[in-house]
Amino acid sequence: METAIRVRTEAARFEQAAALLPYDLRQAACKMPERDKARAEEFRLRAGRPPMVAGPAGEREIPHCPGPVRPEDLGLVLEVASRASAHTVLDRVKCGFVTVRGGHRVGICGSAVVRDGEIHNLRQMSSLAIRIAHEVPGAAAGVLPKLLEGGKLHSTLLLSPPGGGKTTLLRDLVRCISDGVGMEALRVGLADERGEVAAMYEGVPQVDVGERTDVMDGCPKGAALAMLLRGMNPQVLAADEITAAEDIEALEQAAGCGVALLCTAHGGSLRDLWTRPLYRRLMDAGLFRRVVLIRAGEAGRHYEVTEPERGKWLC
Amino acid sequence: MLKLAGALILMAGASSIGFGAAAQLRARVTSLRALIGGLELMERELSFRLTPMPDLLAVVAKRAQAPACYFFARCRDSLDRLGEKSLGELWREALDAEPDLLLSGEETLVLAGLGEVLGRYDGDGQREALESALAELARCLERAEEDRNRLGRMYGVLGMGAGALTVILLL
Repeated sequence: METAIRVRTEAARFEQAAALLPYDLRQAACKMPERDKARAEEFRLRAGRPPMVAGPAGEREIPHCPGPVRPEDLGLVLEVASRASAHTVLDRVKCGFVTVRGGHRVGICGSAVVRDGEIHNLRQMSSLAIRIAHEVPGAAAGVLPKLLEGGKLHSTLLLSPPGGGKTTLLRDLVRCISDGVGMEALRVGLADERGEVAAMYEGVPQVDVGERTDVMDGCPKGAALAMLLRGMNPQVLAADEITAAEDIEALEQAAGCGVALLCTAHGGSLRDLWTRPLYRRLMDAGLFRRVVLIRAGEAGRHYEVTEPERGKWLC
Repeated sequence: MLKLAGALILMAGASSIGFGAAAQLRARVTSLRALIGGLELMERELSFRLTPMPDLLAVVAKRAQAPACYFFARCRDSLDRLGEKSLGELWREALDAEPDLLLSGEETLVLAGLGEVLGRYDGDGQREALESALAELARCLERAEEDRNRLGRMYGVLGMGAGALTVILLL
């Protein structure tokens, strides 16, 4: 029964993301079986190639599609994603993605227009990846107890390759910590630069991130973390995808204030943390006492929790 | 008595055709002014607030003068079908669906071209397109005002004259 509800919920999310597609493609996507919709993770559209849907088993063509993706189809997707307001999302287009209502993320690829050494716009799009936002209540159930010691939450880094489920796990951890699921409830400040974690729309999170979560979205993580720290008195600070030196500086400042950190980073193994200078700085500073390594498999995600200082695997 | 009534009806009919044509010229001027006012408002909103398109069209539909406000309202409502069609196509459809705008072929082309730019480029790009369209429409408005002043009265007099001539010939 619970599985059936879950499948329906995920299928509804699939259809919400499919609403970004041009009419013919959307019709074809919505004809897919419910179970396939629920398992889908991304739509992959490449000009001149058949439209694909990606899931745990890889990419496959969307059945009953009228033909290959046309260049104008890609423009139409971006027009829908921006609600015909490219001028409001151009800064995000320059970063390579746009987040839309519901938390779905449209990744953009094409020929860049460069001015003064910086990407100014995209002249021609060649492919798009629409990542379907997934809310998996309970994803953190097996992980959270291992992040606690004497009821106190350790600063934790969630690690996986792109598309590995970091954001999904982070969202559920935030929800559990904020609602006090299996622990004392804590105030969480969430720096949601790309709007993927809380999927804010008109000031209201579109997914459950807990009752004691304050969300700062749409601004660089470094600035958001500093503002949350100064203004919202958080007990836990959460941020998705640490990518810049400014993020690390803000995290160092927050850790110095006694706030627990909850962050995600790209990487396939602990070794990746030590080989990349940005993350090595994080690890050298000893900011994180736990690292959760996410491994994707046919049967679902598997989480390995380790203490980086001691290199000890907890599960 | 019957002849007199027939003559009056003929005079009134011919005059109304003339005055109708003159009113059409006045309405064209009103329509172009309303459109220019609406587009200027769009330009200001884009300059200062980078307003998203749905909000922008809602503001212009509310504040523009008739008949332009009906056109903008139609565009705003048609955004529900974004994805089935591009904004450019929806804009063009709204133009075609508002005959009260009384636009010439040239003016329709200018506005349709603007629809292909709106919502697709950065704020500066859209403002430039709006400025260019506004300059074109301002020229069209000048010509429409000239036509109204030059031809408006003439159409009225011609209508009455034609009516009178027909009455004289028939009598």
